[in-house]
Amino acid sequence: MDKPQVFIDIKPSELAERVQDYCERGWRFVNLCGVTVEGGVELIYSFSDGYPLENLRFVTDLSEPIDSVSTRFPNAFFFENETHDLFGVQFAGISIDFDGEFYTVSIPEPMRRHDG
Amino acid sequence: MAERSVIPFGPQHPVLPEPLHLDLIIEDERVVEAIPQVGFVHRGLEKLVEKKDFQQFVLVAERICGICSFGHSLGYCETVEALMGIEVPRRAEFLRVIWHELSRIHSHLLWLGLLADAFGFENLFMQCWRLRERVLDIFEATTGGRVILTACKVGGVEQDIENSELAAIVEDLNGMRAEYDELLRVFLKDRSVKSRLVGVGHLTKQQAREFACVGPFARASGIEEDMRLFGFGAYDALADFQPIVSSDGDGYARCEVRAREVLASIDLIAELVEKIPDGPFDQKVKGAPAKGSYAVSRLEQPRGECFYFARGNGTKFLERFRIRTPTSQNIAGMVHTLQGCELADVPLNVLTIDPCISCTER
Repeated sequence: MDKPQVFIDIKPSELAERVQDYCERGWRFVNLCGVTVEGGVELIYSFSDGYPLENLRFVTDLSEPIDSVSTRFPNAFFFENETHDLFGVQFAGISIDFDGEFYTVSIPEPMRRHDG
Repeated sequence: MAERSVIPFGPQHPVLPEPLHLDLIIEDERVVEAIPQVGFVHRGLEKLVEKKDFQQFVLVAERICGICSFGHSLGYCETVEALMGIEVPRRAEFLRVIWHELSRIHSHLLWLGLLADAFGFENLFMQCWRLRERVLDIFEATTGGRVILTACKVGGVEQDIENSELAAIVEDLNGMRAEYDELLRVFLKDRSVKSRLVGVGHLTKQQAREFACVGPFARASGIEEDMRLFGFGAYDALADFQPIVSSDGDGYARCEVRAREVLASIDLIAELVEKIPDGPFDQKVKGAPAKGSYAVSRLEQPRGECFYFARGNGTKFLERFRIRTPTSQNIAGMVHTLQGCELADVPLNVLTIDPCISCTER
């Protein structure tokens, strides 16, 4: 069986409504992934209900904090703190907020640099 | 009202082979709240995709963890193959699953041994690890490595296993089964084991779903979710795969699920060896992942669902590779199980999620 590859482009303002919908349908939060792109950071939120897997993606220019999804999905605190420390994305209202102290990094926002 | 105090647990602790820290807020020896902290040994391996091309990076992926090494190389290869639309020869899919299930057996035997050691049953610990050595011997005979196998590559596997050798592996595993049955009886029936595990760290099915727990940790709370059910790779050749599930949701249930999964993996390998087709075991890979291509993949690692993401940029170097490990998914659930437990039960409770900090701090 092929693995599902569903990517849905959304606007940052739609995130809260989409997350609420997944929560009400009983889906679980799988992952938050940051990708450095021109003009900011692309955030990819993954949700699953067994076999189905859907990935919401949008680009943030880092000017505004992103609403945390950890109030709906408690396990998201790990990934939001990680994305903050590695990419410099600000999240508002993380359930356990390490305030930049989650990872010990020798340079700030290491994943936003490209050393290739 | 009892006085509250904070006890630091870890990052150095006898029960933890790897660094995990918890601030335990306690009242009268009972945990009220636990605040986790990781990040002591973060290595930034994901960033190495900028330095190693997509074929070289397999070697980095399997060094993420010494226990799930084959699983990580498999997850990485499957993600890149999805990114590039590569179809893997059928024999390679079977060989991959056979090595992966052997990894599950050795991982669970390692964990069962650590658990026995944590509750002071030294002999049981040594017997588990003695059996585990036999699985490592199989790895060595088939790949040359005992921990890092270098068996998986994009497009297939590095080497074949002769059909006669596969039959010998099944025979060896069946020989192990009789000895393992004895250990299983101790884990599941012995009064001293039960006294340390029954009722400890209880997590209901609803809570396991709320905290998005995965793997044996979730299945011990009644969640029938296992990536192997969906027939990815050679798992679609299995006649009737059913995940091992328990509804008790405590430390004993987590032990039972993993202990029974060892036997399930032995059966699964025997079935695959019976059905493995002849044919090529790899194929030549040309080109590079297309610019702007995305792919995700999931795999049932010994500790639970592992999630992989890759993005191509038109060169032989990936733009981004991401792994979300089972432990990072299970930490929120583990922290919840600590609330209300006795201070003395904290080490065992932490151990029952089978935390792997190497994976988490990739």
